[in-house]
Amino acid sequence: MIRNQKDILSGVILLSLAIFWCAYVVQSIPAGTGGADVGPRAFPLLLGTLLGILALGFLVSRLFERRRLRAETEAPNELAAPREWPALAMIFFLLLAYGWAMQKTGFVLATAAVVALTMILILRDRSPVRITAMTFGLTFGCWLIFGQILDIPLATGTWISVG
Amino acid sequence: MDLFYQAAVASLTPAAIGAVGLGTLIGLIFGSIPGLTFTVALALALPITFGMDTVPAIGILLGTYIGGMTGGSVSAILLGIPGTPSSAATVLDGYPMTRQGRASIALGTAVIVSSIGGLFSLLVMIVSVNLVSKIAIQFGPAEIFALVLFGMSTICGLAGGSMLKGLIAGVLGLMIMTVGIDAIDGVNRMTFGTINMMQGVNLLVAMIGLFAVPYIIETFARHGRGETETNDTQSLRVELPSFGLLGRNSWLIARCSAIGTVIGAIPGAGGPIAAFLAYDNARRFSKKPERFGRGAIEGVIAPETANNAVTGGTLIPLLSLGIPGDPATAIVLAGLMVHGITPGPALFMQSEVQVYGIYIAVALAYVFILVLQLGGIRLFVHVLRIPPQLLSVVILVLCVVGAYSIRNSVFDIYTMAVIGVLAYALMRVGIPTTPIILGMVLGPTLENEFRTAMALSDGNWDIFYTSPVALLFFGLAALIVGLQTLSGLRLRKPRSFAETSNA
Repeated sequence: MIRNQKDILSGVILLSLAIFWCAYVVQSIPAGTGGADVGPRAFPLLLGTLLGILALGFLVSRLFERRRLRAETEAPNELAAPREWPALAMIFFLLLAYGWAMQKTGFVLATAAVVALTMILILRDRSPVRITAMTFGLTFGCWLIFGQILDIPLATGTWISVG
Repeated sequence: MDLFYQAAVASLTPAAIGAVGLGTLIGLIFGSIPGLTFTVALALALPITFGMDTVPAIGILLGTYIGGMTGGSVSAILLGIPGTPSSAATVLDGYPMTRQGRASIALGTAVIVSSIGGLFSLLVMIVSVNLVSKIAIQFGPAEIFALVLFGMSTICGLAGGSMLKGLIAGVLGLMIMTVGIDAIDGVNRMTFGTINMMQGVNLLVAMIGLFAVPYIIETFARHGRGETETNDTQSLRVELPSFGLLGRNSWLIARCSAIGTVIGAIPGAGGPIAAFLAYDNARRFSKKPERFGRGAIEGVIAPETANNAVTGGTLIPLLSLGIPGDPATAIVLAGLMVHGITPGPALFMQSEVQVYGIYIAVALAYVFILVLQLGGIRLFVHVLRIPPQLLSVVILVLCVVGAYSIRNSVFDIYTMAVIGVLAYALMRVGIPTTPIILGMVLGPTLENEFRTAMALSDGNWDIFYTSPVALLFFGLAALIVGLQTLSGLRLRKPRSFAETSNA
């Protein structure tokens, strides 16, 4: 996707967000009584409106620029290539799974599983020594430093808990 | 004097000194790794401090901040890749020095002038914080609202290439902070009827998501594309500069210290601007400007003095007004608040001992920088050899530990994941993340002071325009936005990837 198209898409998304935000604010937050009472609705509504105005301004400026650039061949933006999206999706779901697993199996087991999965599936590491060292080293290190030395409460599982 | 003595007793315990040392080491390591800024280090170090007493906790945070600012010079000089944006100017002459076989003297000089610049700014900070606090203590809600608005305008304008995108990011940050129970009326806002959303988005969780998660995604994506970075560094030692060299450059060091401190005190400006301004200043006033860019030692002295002098400068508005100048100091601010210290005009009245403790911690951090960098340069050389993808696995686990331990809530891990992925997407479309964090930090104050001012004035808007101080800050905010718009129109150039941090 070329940069200008990407900007237009992000402008549309931000404008949609602003409209949804304002509609939900009006529907769900009570207004102040007026005068000295500004009320809890005023700021969220003001911010939603501001975002809408800024997003609209951004969209219009990009549309004008697109017209200006129509004759020119715009080089594809290297950074805009969607090659990062698989990594992005994987990290997102990995973090969600990590959180869920921590609730069920506790910090130690969840961490060991997530580190091993990351090494094997995301980094495609094929060295058993490195995978084992990272999995056990990192899990034990965090448990020792955070749980034992710094006394920071680590998650305990509802199904099973180790440590 | 009694209070200073109390602060010295509390700050010079083995635990407190060790905490500063640990923080400095964390900062130096993170700062020396390209792409991994000390903002990330601070976000990850903060949970470590939760179980600590106030003084050691402050020591870790300030040590990390100051260590990180200095650590960037290691990779800048050895690899030609700035460890942090603040050390980008150091590359210009530091790396040519390495190629000429003069890395040892470049590193040694960088360490010494960094400490001189930092200690100079500490002295300015000690004088200024109390002075500014005394003036600011007289501010009412209208003045504080105007001041915070000024802080926001500065930061949004300077955050990236496009003011419009900076403003969008700032508004997004302000919007995020309205989620949860309203502090004044106790009404649920944007919670979608869920209990977890009622506690709002925690600032620290958001910071981890905004700064650490995008780094992990980027590293894994690069690894997936087969882009492997090998940092081929050789073992070396640090060579101290001679007194003659320092003496010949004493006026340059003094100038650059002043530049760094002043730039640091302006919210939103930060290390990179100070370093480049100092570099430019050194070249402009040099008798042999043609040597710059070819391994001139002055080209290392100027940016390294200035970027460390920024540390004291940024702490002036942070401590006296409660306004952070960059994301790193925003995390320091959040950390201070977690430990019961609320920076702002009333700081000296409420926590004078802790303020002196902060001064001592900053001075100690520079002592540690000297010791650690001069003695342990080999450690940083080894750190630079760690494959970034393995480092990212460690950071991923640290992110989860950090996000969970703030409120013992798994929901915070989910929040961090969502914010991190959205931050990465925003960066991809060129929207900077720095104003988001500043919006989040300043948002609650902005809203609460506005509403309090309106309540005090019985709904009359004249409370804002009858106060000369408020008018001054409104005027400054308008001036900044105007200047930024003007420079934006003059220098229209495309930017595809937003800056993640100006730290």
